[in-house]
Amino acid sequence: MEFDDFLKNEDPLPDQGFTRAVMLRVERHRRQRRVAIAIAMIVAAAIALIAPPSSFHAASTELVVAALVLMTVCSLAWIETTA
Amino acid sequence: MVDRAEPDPREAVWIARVIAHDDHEAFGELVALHQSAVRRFLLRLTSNDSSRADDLAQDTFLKAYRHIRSFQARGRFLSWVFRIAWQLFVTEERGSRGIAEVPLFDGIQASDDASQRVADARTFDQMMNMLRPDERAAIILHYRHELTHPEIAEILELPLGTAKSLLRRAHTRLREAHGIR
Repeated sequence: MEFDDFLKNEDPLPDQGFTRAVMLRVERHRRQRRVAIAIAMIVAAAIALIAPPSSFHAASTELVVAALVLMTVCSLAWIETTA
Repeated sequence: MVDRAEPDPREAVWIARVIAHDDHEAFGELVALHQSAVRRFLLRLTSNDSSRADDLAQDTFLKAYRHIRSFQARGRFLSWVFRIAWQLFVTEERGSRGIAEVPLFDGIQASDDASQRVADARTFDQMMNMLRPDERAAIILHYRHELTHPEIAEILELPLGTAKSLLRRAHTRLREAHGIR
């Protein structure tokens, strides 16, 4: 038997919980993604609550910038946890 | 056992389900299907350090899950996973101690019965461990998984000519070690 035959005839490794361990890590990763998005949403809600009502009526430049920054942060959080 | 000639027809469906629906169970099926090939590949690269190989294999599948949208069915899924495994292995080697230099074949005595020698798993492991990791990778990918030279070149991120010479050199060194003519 030559070494290439030897390699081809190796028995498959038994799983022995490997797949389950990987899936636990995948699940943890998905949970982290959800947490990151939830945090971003909470921050957004907090800003909305804290901001004085007049700022909404005025729709100031600061408000628009803050909204854009928040949207970027949410997008980056999403990309980081999925890409 | 994963074989070049018989890719599992369910694989494409599972990949599509993971991409379209983030299907947890489908990804589990992919891991279960390829875990042996990836773990054995990494076992060889790490000189049979099973703990390290399994850690790297877990990292490999997690990275595959995170980046599966970039797979886009270019080539075989397993080749793509091997590429991730190789990248992680090289990164870890460079981060820790660098890819070790290996001795030449001078420590194995040839016996009279070539078949018996080759059948001896410990001897085979010993000889594989004397190859450089990239040579080991090329041998496994070509002889175990029957990947083509361009596929091996892509996985190991080498020019095609370099991959061919790497495989030829590794093959020669293994044959010399076995005393097979």
